[in-house]
Amino acid sequence: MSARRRAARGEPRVTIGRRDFFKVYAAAGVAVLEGCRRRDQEFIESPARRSTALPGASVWRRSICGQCGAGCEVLVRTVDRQAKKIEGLPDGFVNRGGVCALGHSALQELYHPDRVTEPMRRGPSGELEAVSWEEALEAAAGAIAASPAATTIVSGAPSGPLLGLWRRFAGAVGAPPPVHWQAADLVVEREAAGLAFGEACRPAYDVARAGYVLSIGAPFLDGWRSAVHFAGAWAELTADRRGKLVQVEARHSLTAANADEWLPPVPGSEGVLARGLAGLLIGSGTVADDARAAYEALYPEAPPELAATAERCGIDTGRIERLADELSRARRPLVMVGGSALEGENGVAAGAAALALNLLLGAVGREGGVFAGVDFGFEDRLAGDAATAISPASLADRLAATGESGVLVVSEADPLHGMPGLEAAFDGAGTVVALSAFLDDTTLRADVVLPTQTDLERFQAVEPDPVRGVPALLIASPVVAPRGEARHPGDVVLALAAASGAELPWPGFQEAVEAALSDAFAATRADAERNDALPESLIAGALNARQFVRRKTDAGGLVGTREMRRAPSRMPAGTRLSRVAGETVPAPVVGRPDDRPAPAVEASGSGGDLDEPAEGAMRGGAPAAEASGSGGDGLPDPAALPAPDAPAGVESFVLIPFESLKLGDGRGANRPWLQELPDPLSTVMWGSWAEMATADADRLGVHTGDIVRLTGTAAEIDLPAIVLPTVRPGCVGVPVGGGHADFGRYARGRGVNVNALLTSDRRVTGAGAFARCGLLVRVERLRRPRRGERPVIYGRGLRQAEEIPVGWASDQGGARHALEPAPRSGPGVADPSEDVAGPDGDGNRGFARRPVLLRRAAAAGGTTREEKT
Amino acid sequence: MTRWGMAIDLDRCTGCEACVVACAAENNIQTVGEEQAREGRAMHWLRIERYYEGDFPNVRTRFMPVLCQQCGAAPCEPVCPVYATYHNPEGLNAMVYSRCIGTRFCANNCPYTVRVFNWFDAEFPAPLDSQLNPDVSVRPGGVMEKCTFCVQRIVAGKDEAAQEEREVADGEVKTACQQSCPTKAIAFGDLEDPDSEVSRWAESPRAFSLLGDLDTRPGVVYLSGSEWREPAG
Repeated sequence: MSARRRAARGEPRVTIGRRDFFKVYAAAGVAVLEGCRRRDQEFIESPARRSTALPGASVWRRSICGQCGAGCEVLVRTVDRQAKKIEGLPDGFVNRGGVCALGHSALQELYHPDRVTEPMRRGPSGELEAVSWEEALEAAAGAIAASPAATTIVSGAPSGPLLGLWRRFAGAVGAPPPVHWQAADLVVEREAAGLAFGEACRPAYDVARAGYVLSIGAPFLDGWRSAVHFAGAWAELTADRRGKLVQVEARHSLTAANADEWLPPVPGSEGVLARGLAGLLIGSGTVADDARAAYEALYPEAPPELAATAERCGIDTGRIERLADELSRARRPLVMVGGSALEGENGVAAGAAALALNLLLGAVGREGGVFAGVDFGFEDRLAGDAATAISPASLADRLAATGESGVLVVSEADPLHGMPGLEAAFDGAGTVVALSAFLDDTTLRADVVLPTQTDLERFQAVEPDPVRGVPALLIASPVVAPRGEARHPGDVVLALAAASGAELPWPGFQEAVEAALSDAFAATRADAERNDALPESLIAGALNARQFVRRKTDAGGLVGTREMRRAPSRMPAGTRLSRVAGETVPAPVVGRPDDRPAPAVEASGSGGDLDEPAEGAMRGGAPAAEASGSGGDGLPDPAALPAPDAPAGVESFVLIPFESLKLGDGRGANRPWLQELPDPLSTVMWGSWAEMATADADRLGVHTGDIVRLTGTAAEIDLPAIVLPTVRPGCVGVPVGGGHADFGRYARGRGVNVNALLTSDRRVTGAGAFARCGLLVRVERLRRPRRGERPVIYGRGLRQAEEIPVGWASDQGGARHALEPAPRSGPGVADPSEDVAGPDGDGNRGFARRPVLLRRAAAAGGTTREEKT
Repeated sequence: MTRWGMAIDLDRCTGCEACVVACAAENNIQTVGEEQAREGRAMHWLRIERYYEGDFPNVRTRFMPVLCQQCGAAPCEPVCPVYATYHNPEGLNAMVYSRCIGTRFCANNCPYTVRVFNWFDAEFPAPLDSQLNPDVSVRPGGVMEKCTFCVQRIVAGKDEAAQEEREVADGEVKTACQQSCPTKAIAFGDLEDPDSEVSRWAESPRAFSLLGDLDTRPGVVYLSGSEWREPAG
């Protein structure tokens, strides 16, 4: 972007100081910081309040999107000190200029009319009443100081500096280590990687440079880990149809929708499929000897036969054989695992089996393969020697143990909405302190509410999800002034510590980050020759520690290695940063030393009786689930599925809760943009729905829009059904994120919370995480929707494939755009009258009523896609 | 003379709808709420059409972003009794909101169903209105609206180029949807410039026009059509 262009966009004219800054920065090899427009002094004092921009002029400020853990770098347009628009930083480390729907909606989080902007305390009447910060902090700190050992801290930040600060706080006041709030499948993913690769890490997948991606359940285009990063990587994978994506999952996610092939297995059998594929790969003779040895060291038992695999997975033998054949012949194949495959009770075993395929394919640590995601380590710098955070799975037990004497501190998380079985624990809890910007389900129950700033109002220091495989720390200054009395959660932690009599050595969060950054700088400089994670600005030696920290904290930026700015959406070349390939795998896998930790997984039904079938009752002709156990010292064969827990003789379905792209885990539910955004697959707006397979719906007499009742072991929920051809028969998919008790006017009472069906005692074996998928629920049709119950479906009348109306079959050679009028008739143009469909014709935004152009291709006996290639 | 045009590569579109929200943020598009949305009155200027091919388990899903096609021969224009919608010299179907009297003839005549009507005055409960883009007017009730190709960005780009006494460079003006696309599936620019990215995309053998036989001469070009090819050997 030119200086003139920036000026034309309303940004202040550049001063000499800025030019000098550019020179230094360019010499240091650091990307120019778009947000740095002011002289340093002004910026440091109060960047949000001291803008000298002309009224009405645009100022673009750099920030970090904090809506998920991906760490997308963004530019925020501000006019008159108000944020107007969020756009991706063109050379953003993770997002390369992209922003997702949730990221855009951070503006509506900032300016939400129902935000909590002042501290509150539950008064004598039982209502939350506004109080001063001092009073609120005193109340919270008093409760913590009274019973520190019974204090439970839940940190919404699953990692990074803020979690480090909470750990430090817990250690200082004598509380147990905090609970990190994290999606269950990500907890399981670490455990699975630990089994397969010898190191519990978050795998980083080099999708962009892979040639063939087999994704077992990983919904990486649906918002899993980093939707924007993976969308860019997927585009590179499939550019010019170079690579292929095969998605394996029972419910067709957005990732499956974009896959070249979708395989819907019986839920819970994903690990069996992975083992079966391993058998076929080994049998094909294409696997290198050392890779085979490494795999067989993990799995000494013979993989299941093809026929057994096909039967258990409910997939044709031919398709499995073809999949194995393609994998064996593909250039740079890669296997990913995530989502529903990890969320069943056998998630760890399934994940390990899937990840272990990468050993056979030689994909570990190679270009287009899987790497170890490496953290920057900033969390530990702030935490000092405090204990590491623990999994959210322990939360219910811990609350039950502490009871009424306990104190629960929840920082920017909503466990009451996001985790089943906590209601009773909350009812019995003592004092609840919530750091939140909204009255979500958890905050509604709080005794003390401490309002927090949203992303754009706060100084940010974020360790992004290691999707790129390289360590990074992202820093950004506030973009706008905070609303009301909201404070930075890190500052609140420090204030709580001070009020509790446990002083931490920093006056504020920013100072804590600066101090840690200085330490990191000094340590890295001393280690300059060896350390791969050398901050890039150190490489040129242009800055001293003070300059470095000031630059970073002034205007935001990226701390990491030189490589991170290169190779869009790709992993670093080679295995230099891959601890998996470089160090860990050979020892445990090939050598299997005695000190290798024993596999943490116990398959249900374990006991060494392999292939002993258990009773199972999957619907839709699916075979019975089979339980098998760990065979000797190898990893458990991932064939174990939960026994059905629904009464016999009822119409039971496998429940697949999923995170929709628009509401995520529920955090997007309070944004009107997202509520009114049609779900990409069901096209439903404003509410929850149950996705049912066409065959099941026909049998039960359910039509789209009918209200169905789902009955689980804990509760029942009523919601509209959406009948789709993209659900495996016997399964029912329900999005999570709806059914908030409050959370503002746009979320209150919208949809239902599918977690109500679940119980917290269903755990992923070996990870302790709560198992979200695989519960058997009863489904029955209740009625046609009453007034106000009808689902809000954007694309009513959506048609099946033969009615794709849009001219896939154009044989004109090139576009017929405005300069080149389209022929009114001729070969390839159908009679417009023959496809005038549209059964309802009321507000149908689809093209069903429109003339269809595709008939010619169909009549010619070929598909249009074939004609085009 | 410029002819603004857009090309959308459907082979790259994942249907993630980031563009839809980006459009709403840029253009002050109101949300109408659950009840009005149920009546089909949602106001999106850009929508993602979803199509299924085949039956379980051999289902393929297709996504298609559909927005105003900025037709060269627009069916919406001649039917407006008050000339509220007109054709601008650069190929845009422009709207003069203050002229519109809400006959909705234009929406009735649009084969792409991309025009939306303000049944009520827009509501942005404070402080949600702080987010509103000052470059775009908030439309009152009774007025038709639709995609403008982010005309405010086009104007800003032209102003800047004029100040520097040069032509607008290719890629200099980006629409909000284009800018947010994680897969870079959208190109925007001058279709009259044969070297522009959008012109190059439009010449692709994969390119086609939506409902091209209607001869509306759309300014939006779609690209689609190749399958994965197994690597040789």
